[in-house]
Formats: sequence, C-alpha cells, structure tokens
Amino acid sequence: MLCIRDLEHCYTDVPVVRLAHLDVGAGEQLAILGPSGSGKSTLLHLLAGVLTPTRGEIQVCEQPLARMSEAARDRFRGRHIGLVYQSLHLIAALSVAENLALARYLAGLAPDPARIDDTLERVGLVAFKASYPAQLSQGQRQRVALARALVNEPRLILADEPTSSLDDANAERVATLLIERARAADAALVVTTHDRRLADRFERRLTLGETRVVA
Amino acid sequence: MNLWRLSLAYLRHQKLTAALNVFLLALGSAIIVVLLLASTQLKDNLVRDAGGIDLVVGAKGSPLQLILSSIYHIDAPTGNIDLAEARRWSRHRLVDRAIPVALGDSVQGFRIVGTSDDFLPLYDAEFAGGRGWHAPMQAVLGAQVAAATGLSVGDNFAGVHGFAASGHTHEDSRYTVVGVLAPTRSVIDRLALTDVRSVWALHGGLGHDHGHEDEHAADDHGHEHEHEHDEDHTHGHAEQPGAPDHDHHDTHAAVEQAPLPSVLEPDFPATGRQITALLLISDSPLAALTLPRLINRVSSLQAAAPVAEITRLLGLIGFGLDTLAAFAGLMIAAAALSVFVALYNALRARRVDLAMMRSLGASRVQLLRHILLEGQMLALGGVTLGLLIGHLVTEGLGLWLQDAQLFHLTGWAWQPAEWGLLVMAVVVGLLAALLPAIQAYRVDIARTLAGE
Repeated sequence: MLCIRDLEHCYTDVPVVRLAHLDVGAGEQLAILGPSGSGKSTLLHLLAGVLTPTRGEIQVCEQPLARMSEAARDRFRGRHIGLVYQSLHLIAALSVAENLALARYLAGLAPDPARIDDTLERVGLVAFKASYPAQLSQGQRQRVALARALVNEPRLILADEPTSSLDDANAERVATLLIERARAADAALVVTTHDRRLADRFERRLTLGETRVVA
Repeated sequence: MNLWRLSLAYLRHQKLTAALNVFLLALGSAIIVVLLLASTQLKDNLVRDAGGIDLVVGAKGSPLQLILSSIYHIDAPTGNIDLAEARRWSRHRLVDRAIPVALGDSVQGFRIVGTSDDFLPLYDAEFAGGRGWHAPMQAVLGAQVAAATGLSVGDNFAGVHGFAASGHTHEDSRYTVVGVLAPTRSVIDRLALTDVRSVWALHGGLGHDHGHEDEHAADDHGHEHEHEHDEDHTHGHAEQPGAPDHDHHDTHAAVEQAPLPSVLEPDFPATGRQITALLLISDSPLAALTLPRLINRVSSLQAAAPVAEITRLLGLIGFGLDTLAAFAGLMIAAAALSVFVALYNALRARRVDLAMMRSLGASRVQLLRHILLEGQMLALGGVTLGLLIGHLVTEGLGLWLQDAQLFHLTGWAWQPAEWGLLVMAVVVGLLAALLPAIQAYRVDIARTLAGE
C-alpha cells in the first residue's frame, strides 16, 4: 500500500527527513513518533504528495507519487488518501454535511448523501450534519475532520497529531474511531504524534531520527 | 456540492460584505439604466412628435420656443403670423406639404389646435370612433384628451381661453366632438384638433391679443397689427366661406359631407387672417438648409428646423446626463474596488481553506475558477439587481410623468446598450477577482498548512 525507498527531503540543503525503507500494507497501522521539529509533519506531507521529496521514491497503491504531475497528484490524493490535519481546517462557510460533500466533489466523486450520512453516523455526528463548525465543540470538530478524511473511502489515511488538542475522553474516542474505521475499511493508517495516549495504541511505531521501525 | 455552491456559501458566510458590494454595483448600474432608458425614449419621443416636419415657420423669437410651442405644445407661442405671408411660403417649390397651426384655447389643460386635415397623417393617427371635421367648431380629440375629459363623439365642450386649466370659457360657442383618435403614443394624444376656422370664429382671426397668454410674443406684433385687429372684429367672420354664422354655432348648420378645403388654398381670402405657425414638409434635403436662411432673411417670419432644435436641446440636456453617467460610472468603479478589497482581504483568511481544498484533491485551476466565480456572482448579481431597479424606477417615473402629460416613458423597454452593462459586469467581476484568484492559484499547500 505504502512503500518508501531511500527517501530524503531537504530544506535549503539541510536534510529534514531521511528514511531508507518503509512499507505499510493494507490494513496496517503505523505511528510516527518524535519530538517537535523532527520532521513528522514534513514526512506526512511527503506521504500525502503535498510535498515532493528531494530524493527517493514514494509509492501509494503502487503509484509513484513523486513522478506524477501536480494535477494528477491532486486528483490521486483526493481520491485515495484521507488527510486529518492537526488544525483540522474545516471550511467554516460550509455545514458539516457540506464539508464532507466538498471532499467528494473535489475528489471528482459522485455526490452520495447516503454515504455522507453513513459516515457521520459512524463518528456519531449525524445529528449535527446541518451545523456549522463554529457551533461544534473541539472534540466534535475533530470527528468531523475524521469523517471528511473517511468519506471517500481512501486506501491510505494520514493523520497529523489527531488527538493532541483533546481531553482524555475525546482523545480516546477519536483514537478508537480512527483505528477502527481504518481497520474496517482495510486502509493503511499512518499517524504522527507525540501524544503517548495515541502512540501506545499502535503496535508499529517509527521514531524519527532513528530511521528504523520499532516492532 | 460544486464550485457554484461553494462560492455561494462563502458569499453567504460574509453576508454583509457581499450585500454591500451588490448594493453598490446595483446603485451605479440602476442610475445608468434610468439614464439610458430616459434619454433614448426622450429622443424617440421628440423625434416621433416631430412627425416628419422639416420646418416650422412662425413669428420671430426663440427658434426653440417656436418648436416647443407649435410641435411639442409645451411652451407659449412666439406670436402670430399673417396667413397671406404663410401661404406664400407654403407654395415655395421646395415645400411638398404645408399645415397651418392656430393656437389659443384649451380644454381641461389640453391644447385645442386649429389645423387642417393633413395634421392627422403626421402621426399616423387613426380614428377610434367618429370621423374628421367637416365644418368649424367640430373637434377631434386625441386619445388622452378623450380619456381625461370623458368626452366622446356627439358630446360638446367649451374651449377655455389660454392654456391653463381654468380661465375665460367661450361658453357661447361650444365645440362638438365628431371624432376620437386611437392612442399613438405621440403628442397628438394630448391635443384636441379642429379646423383653423374654429379658432378664428372664437378669436376673430387670431389677430387680437387681449388677455392672451403669450403676451411677450404678441408684443412684437401687437402694435403693428393693431388696426388689423380692429378690422378682424368687425368683419372677420362674415368673410369666411363655408364658416357657420358666428352668432349661432349650432351643429346642424355645420353638417357638411366633405372635409373643409385648406385655408392655404390660393382662393381662400387671407386678408386679416393670422395663424400661429406653419408646418412645412419637404422631400428635398435642400429645404432644411436653404429655406430657413431664406425665410429669416427676406421675411418678418422665422423658420426653425425641429431636428436641429431637438439636437440642440438634447445637447443641453445631454451635458447633465453625461455628468450623471460619469457619476454612476464612478460608483461602479468604487463598487469594483470594493469587490476587489473584499475578495483580497477574504483571501488572506481563506488561504488555509484553499490549501485544504487542494489537499482534498482540488486542482489549482479549480481554485482559480472558484475565486473568479465569486467575483462574477457579486458583479452579475449587482448589475442584474441594478437592471431590475433601473427598469422599475423608469416605469415609476413614466407613470408619474404620464400624469404630468409630458412624454411617454416606460420601464418595459430594453436598450441594446444594457447588454453592455452585463458585459461590463463580467469584466468588472473578472478584474476585481483576478488578483485574488491568481493568489488562490499559487497557494502552497504544505507551507500554508504547516504554517499554522
């Protein structure tokens, strides 16, 4: 599903991310750990095809991300990769359901109100589908962001610090949803975090700076 | 979800800003629409009311006043002219048709125009009922006159001296309505028409000027013609062939089966008779050039060309219209700037949204279109609203002016130039949104999303 070979990314000649070898199969789950500034977010952006690496190869679904044109990469990301950012980036002008509809539209998928309802149902927010992000709590917003990442049924789910701004109860709930939904969809899940509450729930962990997979 | 709904959602999210921008654009374009409709319809009205008349010959004075009084019937006449002299010009080789006009009385504020049968075809007027006059003191009413006064064929009415709604009435000699015209949307709708002889019958040859409204104009002639006036009073009416007896204008005496011959016919005795103006029509383009100069030089009369005077009048009005249009243009420019500032400021806040959309799969071109679309929606929304307001306001003005009897103005007309306004809206929207849209196109996803 996700396959990395000899990856290196530099900002002004200084390598920020260096990763010789990484494979994450369908249904597998990986937590990327490391202190702030260790390049976690940069790695996630590389995996999402938002950034192109200075060197090396990244394959998602057997597709070489770095060699696609920008437009093709945008389309591919929308269709096959679900992203949850630390700052969520929900569209404030759109309702919860519209935020999910936008994700389907921008990925070039048919509008599917039933699937949107279903996805919101699974994160426990179907009652809030007409609400706007500003009307929701932080925990609810986090789940909307999660639902948006899931609504296109991606093969790869990437989440950047999905729990670090939540209290224990919400962090628990979001972590469980993330892990369960990814497993149910047989999607590969990669999260970056320095939150022990989340990291402890992953069997596979990669601590950046060491460039090796911890069993 | 689509780009259209996405843009709409953002506009809804910033209701106040969007409403302000739409309002600014609407106001500017509404002013332009009103100016456009009013000025073209004013011109159309003026041209239609001119009825193809090439020249008006009347007493010396302001040429514009001569035109306004004897064609548009909205000003006092410049004075009267001798029928004999008028007749001489009516037979000039460059003149194809000549129509006399004698003014002086009105009915409920509508002017009674003494003229000849040739007057009706000028405006393609057709009878809604009745027929033309066959004798003096028979009148044909314009559509608006008939509607306002409630008079119909067979009724009779008394003319009021002067053009005001009230004044001395000629109670002893009443007009009989023999015809009512169908609406023409021209000046004839507001006129009561009769033969020149009727006016003479009431005013004794038109030469006198007692209590006449157009004193300033009559002054020019009053003294020269003083002795003639006296003669008019003594034997003016008795000389008229075919005219009814002055003392009892009973309609029975006036029943004749043929239209009256024109008073411009050479065998009609012209001595002591006066008319207000003479309308000349010529097939020769030379006439409008040479006749006025000739008439102004060799006679005590003046000749004025309606087209030239309309052009002069519109030129005077046009200056005011241009100023208003420039003002409206300035408002639209301000509105465009406001749209630009709104989009530009919003974009700073939306940079993150745009980056997020990119990471959801949106292409750069989609984001460009998304922002351009928003500008288009504001601009087209504003101008469409402006068109609507402009047409409604024009129609309102038209209804108001209808009461004032000035000219026909309607909001239910479309000027081709209004397409230009819509094109302008597209351009304004494009220009205002272009820079923000290019910024949207250039948003760097990783840096924007990581720069939190």
